[in-house]
Amino acid sequence: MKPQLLVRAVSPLILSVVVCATACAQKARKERTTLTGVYSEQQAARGQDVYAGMCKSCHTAATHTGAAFEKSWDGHSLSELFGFISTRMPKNEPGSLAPEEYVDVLAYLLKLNQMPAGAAELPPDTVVLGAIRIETHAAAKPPIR
Amino acid sequence: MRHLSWNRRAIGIAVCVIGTIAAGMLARARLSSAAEGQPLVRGNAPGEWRFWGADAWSTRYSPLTQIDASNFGSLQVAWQWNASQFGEDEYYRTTPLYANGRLFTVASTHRDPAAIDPATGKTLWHWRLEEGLRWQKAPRQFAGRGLAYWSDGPNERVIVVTPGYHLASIDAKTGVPDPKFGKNGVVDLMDGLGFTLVPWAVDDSGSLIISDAAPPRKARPGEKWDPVRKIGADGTMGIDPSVGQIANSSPAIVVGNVIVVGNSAIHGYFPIRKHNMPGAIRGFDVHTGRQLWKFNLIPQPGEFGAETWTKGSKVGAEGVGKNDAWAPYSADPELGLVYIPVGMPLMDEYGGHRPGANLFGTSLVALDVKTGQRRWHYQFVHHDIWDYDTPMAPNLLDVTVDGRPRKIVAQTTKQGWVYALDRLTGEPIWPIVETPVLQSEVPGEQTWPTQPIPSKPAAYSQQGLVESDLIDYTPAIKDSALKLAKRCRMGPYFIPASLADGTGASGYRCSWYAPGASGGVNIDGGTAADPETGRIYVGSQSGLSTIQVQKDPCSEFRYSSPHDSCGLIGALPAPAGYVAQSGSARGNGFEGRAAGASIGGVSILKPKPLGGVTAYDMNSGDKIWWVPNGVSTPVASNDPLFAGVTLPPQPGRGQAQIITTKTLVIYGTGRSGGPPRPPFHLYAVDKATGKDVGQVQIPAKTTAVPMTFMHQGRQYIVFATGAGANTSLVALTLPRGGDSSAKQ
Repeated sequence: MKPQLLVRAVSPLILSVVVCATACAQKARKERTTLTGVYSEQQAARGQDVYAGMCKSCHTAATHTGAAFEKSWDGHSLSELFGFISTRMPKNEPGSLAPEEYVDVLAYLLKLNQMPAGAAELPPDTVVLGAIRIETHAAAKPPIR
Repeated sequence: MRHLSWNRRAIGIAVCVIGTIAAGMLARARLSSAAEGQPLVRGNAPGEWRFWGADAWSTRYSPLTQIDASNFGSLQVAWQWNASQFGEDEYYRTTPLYANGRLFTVASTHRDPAAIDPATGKTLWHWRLEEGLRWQKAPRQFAGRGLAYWSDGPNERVIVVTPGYHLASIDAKTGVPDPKFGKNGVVDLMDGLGFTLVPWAVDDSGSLIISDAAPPRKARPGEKWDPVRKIGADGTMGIDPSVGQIANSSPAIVVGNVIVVGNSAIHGYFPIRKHNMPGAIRGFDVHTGRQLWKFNLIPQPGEFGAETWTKGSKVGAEGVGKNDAWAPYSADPELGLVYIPVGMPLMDEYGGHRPGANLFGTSLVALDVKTGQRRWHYQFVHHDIWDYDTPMAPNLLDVTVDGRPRKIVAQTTKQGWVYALDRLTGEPIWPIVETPVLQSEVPGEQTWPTQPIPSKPAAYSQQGLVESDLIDYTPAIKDSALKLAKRCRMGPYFIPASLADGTGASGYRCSWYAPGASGGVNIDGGTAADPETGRIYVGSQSGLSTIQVQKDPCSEFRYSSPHDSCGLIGALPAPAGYVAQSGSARGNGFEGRAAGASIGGVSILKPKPLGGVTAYDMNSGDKIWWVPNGVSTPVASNDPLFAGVTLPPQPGRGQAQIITTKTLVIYGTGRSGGPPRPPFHLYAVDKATGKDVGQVQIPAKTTAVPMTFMHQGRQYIVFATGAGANTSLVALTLPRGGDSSAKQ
């Protein structure tokens, strides 16, 4: 095969790969989930301390792990959960923690639910958190709108 | 180190030694307190800290002067005592005691008492009572606020009330339970309340779930313990759980030879059962553990105050429960009176099942220490539906009001007021006016028509929400804030909750809630009192939240803060057509109160000198000075509404944890105060002016009120920090040579 022909033959393939890669990357970005390592171990450790100090007296882990967590939050965005805990918690003085403390607790909740840690920390930024979907197990589910 | 334990599975109670004796440590802690040979003042030896609040008057005052404005900033960590070595905790909410050369504290969710060498931070002894299911299902499973101490000179005792509601008297020198006290040093506090004790069993291996879900139950005949599934009956005896649950979170107070003990209860939000245990105060002989008297905090038929429960107050009846006095207490040993701050009745936000004023809920009660007879009482909130438990030991002071010497008791509260009362009679020092308040629109609720509003001193926390409270930097900002404020029911104070579905007469779906359930003052903060000047220093917060109620489909209550108990052990079956909601519509069961409204990140509430640390002169009732808790928080917004507006900073959040000395007011920011990340600080201000005189970096935020003492010529400040598996006591002192003035 002449080189020109080879280029002609391969180009659509390269193009399709490039297009696919771009699209897939966009899709991946769009569908970033809590199974992709969205918090760090260090952040979850900080969150554990905040949780023990501010949350544990009213909660048992069973109320926000496993099936209970899945039923309440699977498919929702992290920003929704962040918004919930940062405006409704602690029960006696909602909104009384700093945003950094709330997002650390969020990381700890993910860890409690066996979601993997990664390198980066979750920021207390609802735009960033809004792009992360809570997924409680590997089987993908359609997002809840 | 000696470590004594009560065997969990034993029939009856047995003591076993599971530690070893470090003879060198146990031989004796060097008795070099500041107090040798000096008379007690308010029950405390000068330079020591024998009560949770320093002395019987709960002043949190120390006359020590070695640490002062000139050297506060040079304080160093002398030692750090790892409380987690005895197990995890919630947040470490303990204030240790110092007496006769030893430091005493509690640690872990088992509330183990321990003694520490104040100079080195080494453990001298440690003791644990294994309580079986009584611990597993304890409503207050944490280290608690501390201990009580008693001594007649040669004998010293440390008194602990455990999470499972036992009272133990421990030899302060050795850590060994006093064999003459109760049964081998322990009194079962579930006994003597008028209930028969029964064997307990559990159907799950977890703890109680807020509030009364997953409870224990009476064991079936012949029921055994399943060690694999960790369910069944383990031999634990207790009050029949169908009556309700009882707990403890604060130390007893010892007055003379009487130990005064009360109780706490389940959390008052989201209960399932419409009845629960009532609160009671009891006196016990310090030598024998014999119960001397009992005072019912829900007056029983025929007792004074029973008529304030118009549907009846009999224990076990529908609508009856709580009125638990869960805060520490104060006493005047000379008058022979103990002052009991009492919490609210069952449940927090709705009282349709308990019409009436509900004595002695949300009151201060003065009892004769020898007899338990009520001398007087003062109710701060009639028919409480705001979770305004009286949260803190009151402060006793001798002051001069209008030229007349007065013995007063000052009670700071969640609702943001200081109530100043004559401590012999309960009469207000300044007029407290019964004032008409907003009435509830919630079906079945019968709000009390008036509430007592102090004319003096002025409030230290935001009261309700009215138009003049709103930010008004520009007309547009004022309009926006008012529009937002009008979404919930407004008023000057005591605004009743609204129906979440908006079916009340006014159509509101929420009410503004300020102070919220955490105060104002709450157990984290509270008040120090200066017996030299008659001033008090109040650590409080000032915020704004909302409150609403609706039906929990699986609870007996007609209304509560929005919540779904369905599926929990002990909950009612889900009604027909029940559909669980998800996401923020349901969350994990916590809704109904929400953070204060803001626009573009800016609170609609004007920043005011509220919360933080407020100093009052109780001779005049006037505010003297105010400082924020730590530092004020800068406020910025990208919202165009605030373009060109310089936004004032917000006062610091959280509740300052305060003590006072000869010259200083010293405080930590508390677990929810200060910055979220290090560095953290302990602060000192001039107690006369509030002027900042120093701050010192500390390893972690204070999580309880600090204390101070003199040991071997050195003044120490000790405070609790941390939560979970990272709890510790931190001791600060001046570097060697930094105390050259050797003042005391």
